[in-house]
Amino acid sequence: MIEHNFAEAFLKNRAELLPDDVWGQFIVPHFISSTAVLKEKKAVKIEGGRGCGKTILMRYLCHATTFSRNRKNIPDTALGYIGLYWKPDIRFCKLLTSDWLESYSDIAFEHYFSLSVLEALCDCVDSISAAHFEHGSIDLNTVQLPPTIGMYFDGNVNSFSELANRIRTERAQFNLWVQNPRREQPLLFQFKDIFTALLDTLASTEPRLKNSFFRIFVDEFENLQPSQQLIINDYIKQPQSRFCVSFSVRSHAISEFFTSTAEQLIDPHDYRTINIENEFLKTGQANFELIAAEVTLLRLHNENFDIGFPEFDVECLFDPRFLDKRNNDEYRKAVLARVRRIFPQMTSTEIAQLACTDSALRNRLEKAILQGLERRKRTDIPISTFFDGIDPRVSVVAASVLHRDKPETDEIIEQVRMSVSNPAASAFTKREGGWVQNTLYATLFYLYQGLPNTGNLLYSGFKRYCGMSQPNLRYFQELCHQAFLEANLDRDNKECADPMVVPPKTQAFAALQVSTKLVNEVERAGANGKSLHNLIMRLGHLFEAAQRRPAQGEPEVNHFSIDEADSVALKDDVHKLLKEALMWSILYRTDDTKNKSDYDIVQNDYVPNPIYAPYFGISYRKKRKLALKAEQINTIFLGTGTQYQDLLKNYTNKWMSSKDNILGTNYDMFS
Amino acid sequence: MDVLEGQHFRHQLRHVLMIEFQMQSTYSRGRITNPFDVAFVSRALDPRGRFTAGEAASLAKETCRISYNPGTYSLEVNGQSIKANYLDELVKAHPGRNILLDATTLDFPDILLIIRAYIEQRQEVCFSFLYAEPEEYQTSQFEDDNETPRFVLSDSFDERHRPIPGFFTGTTSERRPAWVVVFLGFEGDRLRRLVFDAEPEDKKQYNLVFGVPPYRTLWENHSLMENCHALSETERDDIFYAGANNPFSCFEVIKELHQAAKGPNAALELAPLGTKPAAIACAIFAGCHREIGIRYDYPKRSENRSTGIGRTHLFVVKADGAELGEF
Repeated sequence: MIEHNFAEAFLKNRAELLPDDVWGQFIVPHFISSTAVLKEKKAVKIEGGRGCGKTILMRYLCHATTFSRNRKNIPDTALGYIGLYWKPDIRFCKLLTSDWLESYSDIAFEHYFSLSVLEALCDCVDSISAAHFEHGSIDLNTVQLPPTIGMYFDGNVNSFSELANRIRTERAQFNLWVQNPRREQPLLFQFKDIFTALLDTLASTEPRLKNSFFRIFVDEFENLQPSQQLIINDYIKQPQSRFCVSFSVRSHAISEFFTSTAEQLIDPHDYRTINIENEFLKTGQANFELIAAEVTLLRLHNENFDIGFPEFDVECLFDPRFLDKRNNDEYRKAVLARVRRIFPQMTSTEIAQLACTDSALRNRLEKAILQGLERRKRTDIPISTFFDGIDPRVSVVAASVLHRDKPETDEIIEQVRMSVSNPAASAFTKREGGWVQNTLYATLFYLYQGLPNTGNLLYSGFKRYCGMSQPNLRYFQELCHQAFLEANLDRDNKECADPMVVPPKTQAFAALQVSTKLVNEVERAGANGKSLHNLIMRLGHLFEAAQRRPAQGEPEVNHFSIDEADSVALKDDVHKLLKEALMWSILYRTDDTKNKSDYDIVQNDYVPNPIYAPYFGISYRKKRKLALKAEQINTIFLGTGTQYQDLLKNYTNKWMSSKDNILGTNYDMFS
Repeated sequence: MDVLEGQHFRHQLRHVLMIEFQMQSTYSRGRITNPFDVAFVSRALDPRGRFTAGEAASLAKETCRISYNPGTYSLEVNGQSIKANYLDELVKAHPGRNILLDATTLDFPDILLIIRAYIEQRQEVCFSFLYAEPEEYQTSQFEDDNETPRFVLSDSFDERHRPIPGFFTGTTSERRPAWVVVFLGFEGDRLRRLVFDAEPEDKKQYNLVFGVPPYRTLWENHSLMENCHALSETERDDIFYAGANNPFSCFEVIKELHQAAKGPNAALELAPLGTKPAAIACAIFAGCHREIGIRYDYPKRSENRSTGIGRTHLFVVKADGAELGEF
């Protein structure tokens, strides 16, 4: 029996798997205070890649969470902005098109929208009626609806509960009619007038709702049919005095928004954008680490595990009023320290020490040094020169330096000695631009690359987990889930007495598992999943090949840019696939563009999602890039297998001097 | 399969509609004495399709070329277009009680809508399905020797999971749990995409049906290998087995799950991603029950996806013409 099943706590890492009420689940991110999302009477566009948290943010802003039954002493200010959530049924929407319903398609979609919004309003009335307000409860079930409402439903509708019942019947009839328009057509209506009438009624009967502003959040806008998007855009363009329509959309899915009268929506005139991933990136790694740490502790706390951290007040996580408290240095330090104990991290120095003691790593390191010496025809130098009394970081990096053309061997030996006698002056250990500083990570990656069954410790530790998953909290939670799962499976693990500690080796193995799973998941990314999977495999193998150079003169190559000069030669299909890759967050684009249009792909760096790094054994840190020519990009994106293999071979030949290849004995990609 | 020959069994539908199976496992032209009123065929992509389409045409008084266009929700019938809610026009144009369907060339939605069309007439009708197994399926050319051979059966899935009017069980906000019965084939991606495209906020139970025994010994391994990833990732309720070339055993599995799903008032949806005999079973069941939903991904079948002509079957199903219940 597994006694401590911490892994379960991280299982529900997709908002769709959570209830509408995410109070107690959703942690208010720090960026929220600097954005308009909490108090905005015009539309908000919530943008981001897959799994970055668009849906959960919307659900947080909607009534089920705002008036959660789990929330005590709700202030009346919560009634100021009330959210209604709607995720259209995408399959059903495919029937609400002119292909099927001909001229009725638009009004049918409007009707579907109306029924959904009215149903959400009825649910909202229930939420408010059941909520624990600081200043006493509000009973909206007795509110008398105006007689005009009945006109929409062929009969009297007096209360919200009657309305909810009528909508259910209406919806069933509508479903039948949509599937067979030869049936009697139900009354199809737009929601604006009836919705406004209902909101007026609420405002006039309950003083605390007098100034309430309702925000309708439409999720997964990009999956609607184009004609349906126009209808939603009409609402976005025209916020009303009591309500507006906001929406979420996947980054890069839609570049321009138009209304049905061909007016373009303009940011920030018509809507404000909150790009969740950009916000997480903008506020920096420190803020991401903090929220990742808070997520870790909250998930464990929610599953009733003792996190051994009594000062941690989970209630502060859910309410933006406490953001200042969470910004406090002391709080940050304490939270991060607690989580670092759960996912301990070995420094690169400690890993270098391990490389000199662990038999497999040491073996590979010695082999690399010996081959470097052989290459220089200096086998007279005893290998102990690089180990005895030497800083392990220097021993590791020496393996790379010996494979470079310069400097002379004696000079290298001298610098090794100096790293002991006068470290600040040694080319290895000097602070600025020393070889250790530049190449230690890369050489360690290189050593691990030859040992596929040894967990690469550079993929372990809380900070590194954040580095690999930023800006995506779902990926971070996948890592936590897998890490605890592996720790449980690893019964013989006696390294640590505390079950809430995952040893670095186990973490490293979990990172590889998660990475593999997510690389495989690319195949399902939309209609072009197969092409995208092919693309990430090709890029990954190319960077993997770059990582196999023993000299590591250009360490940690893991992204690419496009050579501007011949960019015109990029194929149209490459542009399309590139856009898809961005949309699904398979690649990230670093936007350092100035005066460049949105889709000018030439000026940008493209970084594969760092979560894929463990699968390919490459660095997840954005360090060096490969400048590719348009022709090469075309080959990588769309070329045949043979064309790509030729490209890869060319690079490998260029990268590896003939003798270097001996070391790549584990490298059987071309065998 | 000859042991099953002549086997009869009856299935009492909820709304008094009765259908009766009469199995004649191996097709032989000589055994067919009366010509069929109409034969439905579609475009042949491989030798077995050309064979059965030719046979079907020779066995009926009239041949009708038909194919469903998911984008326009209509059947293209001999060059004319019939919307999916005007199926009575199909019967008007091709009246008959003894219908032959060339299941080798017809796709699942074609079969489904033809069955629904005639069943809705509330008259006795007999459906015969002609189906030829292939000798071999086309396999992929690989760049890497380590890859296991894969069958290449479809080029693309442009219209994936577009609903078929009349076979959509309800929108997500109704929050009805769904039981999805998936008949698995040789293309593992199809199951993955089905799960991925399904609305995750509604609880779904996936009942996976493998085609075992397969057409040929060892082909079940392809199916297992292709779908094993999804097996570990999908929250599945149970695994079933039904003969890959036996629509009757597939039908029994559906019937069993239909009974079981009634209890928790779940929507039952069928996803025929496997062999054509399994698709025939799904089409018969859904064609005769208004409450059944369909999830289908409309593969664009590859040219010359199979070679040779294997065993050829004739499956016969009779419906008694009783009323098809309303929702």
